[in-house]
Amino acid sequence: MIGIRDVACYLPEGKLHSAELQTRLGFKPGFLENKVGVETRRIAAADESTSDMAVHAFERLRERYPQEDFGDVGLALLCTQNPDYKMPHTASVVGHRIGLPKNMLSFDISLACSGYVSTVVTAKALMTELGVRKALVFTADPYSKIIKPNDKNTIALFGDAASVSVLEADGPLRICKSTFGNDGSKYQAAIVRGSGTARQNGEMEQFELDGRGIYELLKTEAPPSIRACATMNGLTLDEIDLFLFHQASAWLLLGLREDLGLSEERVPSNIKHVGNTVSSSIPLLLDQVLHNGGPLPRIILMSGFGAGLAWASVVLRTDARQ
Amino acid sequence: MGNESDVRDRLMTILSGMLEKPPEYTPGADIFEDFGLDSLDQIEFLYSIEQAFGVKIADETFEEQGLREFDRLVAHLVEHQRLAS
Repeated sequence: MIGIRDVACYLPEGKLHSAELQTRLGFKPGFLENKVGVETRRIAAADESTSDMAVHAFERLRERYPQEDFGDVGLALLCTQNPDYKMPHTASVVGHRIGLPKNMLSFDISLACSGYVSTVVTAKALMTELGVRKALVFTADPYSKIIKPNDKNTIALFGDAASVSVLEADGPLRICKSTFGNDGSKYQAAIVRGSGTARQNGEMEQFELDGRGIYELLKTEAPPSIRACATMNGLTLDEIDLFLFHQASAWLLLGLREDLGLSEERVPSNIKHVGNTVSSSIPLLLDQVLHNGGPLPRIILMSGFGAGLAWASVVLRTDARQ
Repeated sequence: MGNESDVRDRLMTILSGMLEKPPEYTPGADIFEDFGLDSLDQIEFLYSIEQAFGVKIADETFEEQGLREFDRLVAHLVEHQRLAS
């Protein structure tokens, strides 16, 4: 059964601390650390591109497997909504830079916070259909490139990161059944206006985030989707060892955890030191889980939710049961 | 359902749950400045109002109509219920 073998991540050198934002933008003391839950975000350098970040993630992976040439990769997907260029796809740029073979399928997937789960499941489906035995799934979506420095709604929340996951035909973290959702009626809840062909005359590129829309997504769609994913995999929530949720904000995660009746120990979080890293938030958590020196959890449920609005959940298993 | 006292009580219940203590009401109290809600609380608060009263209040409406003031919010909800009945 197709599964994830490993995950490697990259965090840019630049840091933006909440103390600086508090001074500059007048946030109430403690608001960013306690409610938003972020003390530090990593910020890509001005000349650091999406492909740069993805390549750095791959270099972390290669350090772990120095003897592997990855010449047998048959599929490479990259999840981003901030590509190097509108054309060509950034996955092609990355594939060239890291020496991937030409005889493979490669494309970008334009999804935000639901992106890792959706891209992993898409990769599994394509591997199954095409008989591909090894694939790479990248996430790299530097929101620092689109956020206005004085936008209090967004600057405090997001951080930059990238990841690469190796999927194999017999990977240890088997990718099981998944649930999805998409509500296009709320497409304006997270939007970069003026960024494409729908641009109005004189409209400038502007990232806008409607907190209410995202909040309602986590209240109305995420919990039933997560429960349905567990049920579809023949599980109750109690049987799942670990929940890796997209790190939207500490406040939203607390609400989701409470709505599902989950203890804090089963819902790890990394938002404090990296912020909301969009599609990289779940693989950052998974990387930690895989490399913390402890035993692998038997069953993991990953769930992402965000721009679109879109949401996706999937179960990973390391045990013998399917 | 529908009278001012009932609306006040239900709003206070919502706020008490969010603030983990009953807010100290005074006439003209501002829900944010005086009760201590922050911008993220506003999202949850407006959602809770929607669930409790069936009234969806847009962020812009909340600001423009001065509904940050507790008494004005009560009046707004009472009027909504009167029109809906």
